[in-house]
Amino acid sequence: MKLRLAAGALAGAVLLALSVAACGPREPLRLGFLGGLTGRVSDLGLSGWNGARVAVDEVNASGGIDGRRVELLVRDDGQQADQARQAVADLIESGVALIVGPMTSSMAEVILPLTEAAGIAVISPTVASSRLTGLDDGFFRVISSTKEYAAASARYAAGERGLRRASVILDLGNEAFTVDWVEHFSVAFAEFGGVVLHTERYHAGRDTSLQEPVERLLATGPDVLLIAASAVDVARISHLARRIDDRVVLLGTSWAATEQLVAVGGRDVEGLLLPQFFDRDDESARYLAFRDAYLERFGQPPGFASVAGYDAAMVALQVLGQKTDAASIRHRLVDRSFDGLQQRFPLDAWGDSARDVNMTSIRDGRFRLEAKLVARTR
Amino acid sequence: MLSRRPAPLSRLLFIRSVLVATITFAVVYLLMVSWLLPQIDRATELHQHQLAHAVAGQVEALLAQPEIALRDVARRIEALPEGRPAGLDAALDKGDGFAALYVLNAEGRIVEVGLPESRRELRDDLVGMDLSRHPLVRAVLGSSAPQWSDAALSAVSAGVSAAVAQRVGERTVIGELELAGLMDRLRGVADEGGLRTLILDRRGTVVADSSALPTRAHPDFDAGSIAAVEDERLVRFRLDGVVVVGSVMPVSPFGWKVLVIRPLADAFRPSRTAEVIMLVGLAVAVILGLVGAALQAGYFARLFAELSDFARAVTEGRFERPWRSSRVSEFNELASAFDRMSGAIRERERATAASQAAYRELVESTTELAMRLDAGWRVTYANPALCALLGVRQSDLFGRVLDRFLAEPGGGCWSGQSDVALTGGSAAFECMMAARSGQVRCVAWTVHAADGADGRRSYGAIGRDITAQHEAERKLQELNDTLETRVVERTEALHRSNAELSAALDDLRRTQQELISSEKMAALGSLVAGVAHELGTPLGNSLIAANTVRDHTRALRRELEAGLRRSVLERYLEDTESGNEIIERNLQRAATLVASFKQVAVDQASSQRREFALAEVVDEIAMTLGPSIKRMPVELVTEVDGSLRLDSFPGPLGQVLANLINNAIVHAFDGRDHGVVSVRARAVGADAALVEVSDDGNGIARESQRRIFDPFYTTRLGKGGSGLGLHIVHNLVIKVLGGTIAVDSEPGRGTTMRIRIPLRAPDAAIADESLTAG
Repeated sequence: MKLRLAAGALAGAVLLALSVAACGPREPLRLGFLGGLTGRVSDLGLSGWNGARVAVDEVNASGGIDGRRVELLVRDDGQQADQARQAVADLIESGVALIVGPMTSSMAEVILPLTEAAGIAVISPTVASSRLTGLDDGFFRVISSTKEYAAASARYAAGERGLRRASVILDLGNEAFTVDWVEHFSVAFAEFGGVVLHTERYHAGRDTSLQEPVERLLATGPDVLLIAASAVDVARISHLARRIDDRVVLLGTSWAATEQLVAVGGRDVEGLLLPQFFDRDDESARYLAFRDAYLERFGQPPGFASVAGYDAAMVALQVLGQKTDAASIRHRLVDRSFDGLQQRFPLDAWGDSARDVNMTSIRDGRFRLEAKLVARTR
Repeated sequence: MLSRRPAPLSRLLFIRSVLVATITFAVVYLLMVSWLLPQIDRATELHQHQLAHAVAGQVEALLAQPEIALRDVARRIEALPEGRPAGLDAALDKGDGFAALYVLNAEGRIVEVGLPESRRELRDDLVGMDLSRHPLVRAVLGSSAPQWSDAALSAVSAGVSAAVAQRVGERTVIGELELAGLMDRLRGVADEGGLRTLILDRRGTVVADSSALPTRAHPDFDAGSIAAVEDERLVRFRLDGVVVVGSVMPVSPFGWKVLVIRPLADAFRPSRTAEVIMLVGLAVAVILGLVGAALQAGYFARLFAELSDFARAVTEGRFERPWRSSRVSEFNELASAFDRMSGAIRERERATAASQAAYRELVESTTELAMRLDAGWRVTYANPALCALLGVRQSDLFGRVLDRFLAEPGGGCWSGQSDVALTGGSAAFECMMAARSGQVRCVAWTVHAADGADGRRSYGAIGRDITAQHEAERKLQELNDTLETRVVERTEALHRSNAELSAALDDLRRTQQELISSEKMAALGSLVAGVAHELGTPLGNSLIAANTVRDHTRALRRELEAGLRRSVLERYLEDTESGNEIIERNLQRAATLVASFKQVAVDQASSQRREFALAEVVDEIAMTLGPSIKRMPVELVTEVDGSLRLDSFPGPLGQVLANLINNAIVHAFDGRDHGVVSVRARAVGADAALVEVSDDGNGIARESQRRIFDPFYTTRLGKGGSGLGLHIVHNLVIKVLGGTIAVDSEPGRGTTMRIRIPLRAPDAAIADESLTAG
């Protein structure tokens, strides 16, 4: 009797304590975002993050996933390997189920060993390095690889424009991307009878003058100058090139296809060709709604990284809240197509995607579509 | 209405304790949550807000510096001609927080760049770059005031930076801020306990972050939300799953914001700590209270159970079960109260049982009829008297409807009594009851109704068999009816009886007279017989002596004829002399007797009245009696007051005294050789004298005392006593002297005769019938 009463008393007290303590909402689902938010590629990182934020907010606004709110944890990799590792460790520790990111291939190469070890899937918006292509791992991406972009660019330059002589300058700061890109470009360019006359390499972080490399590049008399660098560097290199030669065709990479390019490049980047999947002139209602919301929210229009960030986050949100080990996610994600913001894109068995490539040029300070290059399926 | 099942005490106590604990908990918790914590929180918020203010002020001051420097540069350039102005590097080196300075020509192309030393190599790369499409350059076109850009990639560093631009005529001066330095300076200002200061541009992009950790999360702010929270003192949002609170302060005039944040847990640690302490304290208090309450409840329940057992034991009469003294005094008091109560109940039960027994005995033994009936007039109890009356056993009556025993059909008088009884009183009536033998008895019933505790009605009836009474009444009535006649008859009978009685009374009177006469005759006869008897002896003796003398004489005559001899003559003479002497003596005696008889019949005429001295008469009597006394061993003593004089009859008085003295001498001293007879006289009062004649002789037997004054009563009948002496004394004292006489005697002690006579004798004559009435 006494014992039973005492037990009842304890149970009552415990219930009381629990009822006081456990009144909070259900624990939110955590989604990580990794990108360079500071430093020379922060435009990419911030845009990707913003796109992902829009996607997460949309899901949360419609009631979350199974009633649970989604929380987006963001980390800045600073485009530096140590910081990126630290950021990923942070995210893993914070209990994220998935990571959207990173935004650059070099960072992807740094963090993948960590996420693989932790069994956490990574869905990248913008990483295009073909070195990551065809791996049966926990890495997924929603854009085509550099191979597609580079090949398409080479095809366009050589095939459409009849440009056969190319010079190349590349930033070793994002070597994983730029070197890869240039390799694929060179291969594809050669296929179309083109030839790479000269290649200059520099390191963006070292604040060196690029006048001499540019002079050397132009000295070979190329038809086309391929600049595999960030937007700001593309702007500077374009300026340097235009000082000497206003005839040579400038070709950038998908990396540089941001609004910053126009702001910093001014008239020097007029006519610059850029391959990208992003269609700024998209008139679809879905995109327009996205663009308006984005503009209102972030004070600037979305860039390609924004769309990629949105798409990547959307893919992540489709599997969030379920089993999130790499195998389960791969099983649910691969070999199917997703409705991206601007286009439907597939994820193949290796978690890689392939999208149509829009060849754009800058005219009057804006990106204009030059040609739609259909992704070549493997 | 729902009747709630009674719960055990322990549960009630426990539930109430839980209630109390819960309410207390709720009240304290509510107070804490609604009053104390908000106060602490407000103080914290205020502190944080003030801090944000201060930081914003600092940031503003820090940012004002480059702006001022830029104006300065702009003024200098204004004075310079077109072309590449010199001294920008120098201006940069002044440490105004610039990372780079640009001068743009009218076309928006860079004409000159001021760079820190490490980047001066880039100068030629940069000169000529077209920034005309840069938002900042566009913004500053129509404005004379400096314009601030949002965070953007720097053309120089390719990193994120912010810039301030000023229009100088057609030209534009742009200063690119050294944000890292800014943050370094800021850190010194606002690095306080977990605080993190961020500078946001108009789009909500982080321009600078005081956090030293490069991987720290960026707050989820954007242009929309940053505008929305600007007016709020404190905003809360989640950062990496951690709720943080922040204050947003605008940094005028260029629309940036300072966001000072810190984790909610840090910010509100005081209140959270207070809350936790209080919750833990409350929880511990509640748990302790509940456990205590449970133990206490159990304890009380056990006590009550023991008390209950105790009470049950008392109820079942097991009084030997002791109450184990508890620590709670009330329980002990309750137990002792139970004990007392049980004692009282037992006492009362005994009293009740005794009372009931007494009542039962009363009811069982009374000759009154008593029974109890239930609401349906069925007998529930009948006393023996009633059973006897009806000739049935008690068991035959119980449960039977009363109707069976009524001589009247349909319940008779009983029907309708229920209504009467219902009014609450009692009803009295008579009814005929039929005994089993068929005999009908009339019974007077008094019925009263009572409602039992269960609300059921019952009746009590007390009755009396009034059959005999009825019979008596009937007879009385009859008697009443014949009373007149019988009174007349009785009156006549009485008249007759009266007459008879009157006649009988007359007869009686006559008979009485006759009886008196015959009594007198008898007395006379007795007197005569006595006289005859007394005279008979001397006369007979004389006669015999005379006859002898005659015979002797005749014998002499014959001797004379035959020769007389001398001897014969001499013998004759002797005998004759002797004969004569006998005759003479006997005749003398007879004469004395006759004189005595004469004296007895006192002749009034012979009594002389005169005045005399009592002592003379006494002395005279003593002298008279002297010779005869001398021969006797008796002494006569007189003691008389010589002055005592009487106007009376001295003769009768003397005779009285003589008789009394003689009587004493004759009777008192039989068998004695000495005696004293004393005569004493003295005055008693003014008109009476008391004369006492006493002896110290044998006394008079008690049975004789009341008869000594009767005539002829003698103890010496035939031995010379006449039995008249005292009778004569009595008559003389009363009738002649007018006094009284009393005898005072005790056998063996002597006798005293007390004569009380008036000094002056009454005039009345001596009754002539003194003798006859004797």
